[in-house]
Amino acid sequence: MAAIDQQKNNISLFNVFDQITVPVQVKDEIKSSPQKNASVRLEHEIVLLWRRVLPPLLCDSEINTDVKISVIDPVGKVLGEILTTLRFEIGKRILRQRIQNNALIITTEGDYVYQAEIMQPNTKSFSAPFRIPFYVHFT
Amino acid sequence: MKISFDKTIDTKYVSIKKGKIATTKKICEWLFFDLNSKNEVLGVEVLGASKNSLSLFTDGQNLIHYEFEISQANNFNFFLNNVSKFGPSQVIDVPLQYV
Repeated sequence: MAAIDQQKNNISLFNVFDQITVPVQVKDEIKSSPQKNASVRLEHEIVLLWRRVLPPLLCDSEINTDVKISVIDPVGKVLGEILTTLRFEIGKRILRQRIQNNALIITTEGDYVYQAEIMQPNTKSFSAPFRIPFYVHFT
Repeated sequence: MKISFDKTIDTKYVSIKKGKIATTKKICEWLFFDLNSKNEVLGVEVLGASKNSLSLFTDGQNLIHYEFEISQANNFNFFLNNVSKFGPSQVIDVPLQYV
C-alpha cells in the first residue's frame, strides 16, 4: 500500500509484498469454476513512477498516451488488463501512478506478473514492457 | 485489448473481444460501447481522445469496469458487466512537482 504526504509530496510504501499465501481450499474453488480461476480478496496497490527521458528543453509538450497493465499467471494466461491514460502536463518530468485493486484472480500456484507497457507517443503499439513479479503459494 | 487511434479525427477505438456488433450504446457525448447480442462489450470508442481520459478494466476476456471523470457523464454506473465480487478497481494519478 502507499500513502502520500500532501505537504511534502512524498510517497511512502508499506506492506510491500512479493509472495502471497492462499488457503488450499481455493484450489477446489478453481477446479469447480467454469473459468478455472478464483478471485481472492487482497487489497493492494500497484505504484508506478514514470519519467520523461528527454529534458523539458527538448521535449516540453504535453504527452498524452496509454498505459496497459496486464496480470499474467504462471502459464502465461492474461487474467486481467487495465488500460489507462498517462498525461504528462507541460513542464512535468515525473508522474506517479497508483492503481488500487481489491482482489486477485488466481489460477494456480507459481510466479505471477504485473506487466506494464506504454504506448510511445506517435506509435501504434505498446512497447517497453516491465514486469513486477509476485509468487502465489498454496498452504 | 487492441487500440487504434485516428489522429485526424482525434478518435480512439479499443477492441475488447472479437464478435459481431449488434448495437452501439452511447454512454456520454464522447464515449460509445459496441455490444454484441449478449450485451457484452466488444469495443469502446472514445471521441476527443486527446482530452478525454478513460480507464478500462478487463478480466482477460470481458470488460468489467470503466472509469472517467464523473462530471462528464450523468450515468456513471450505466454499464457494469461481470464485475468482480469484491468490487471494481480505482485508478489514481498523482503528478509530482516539476523537478
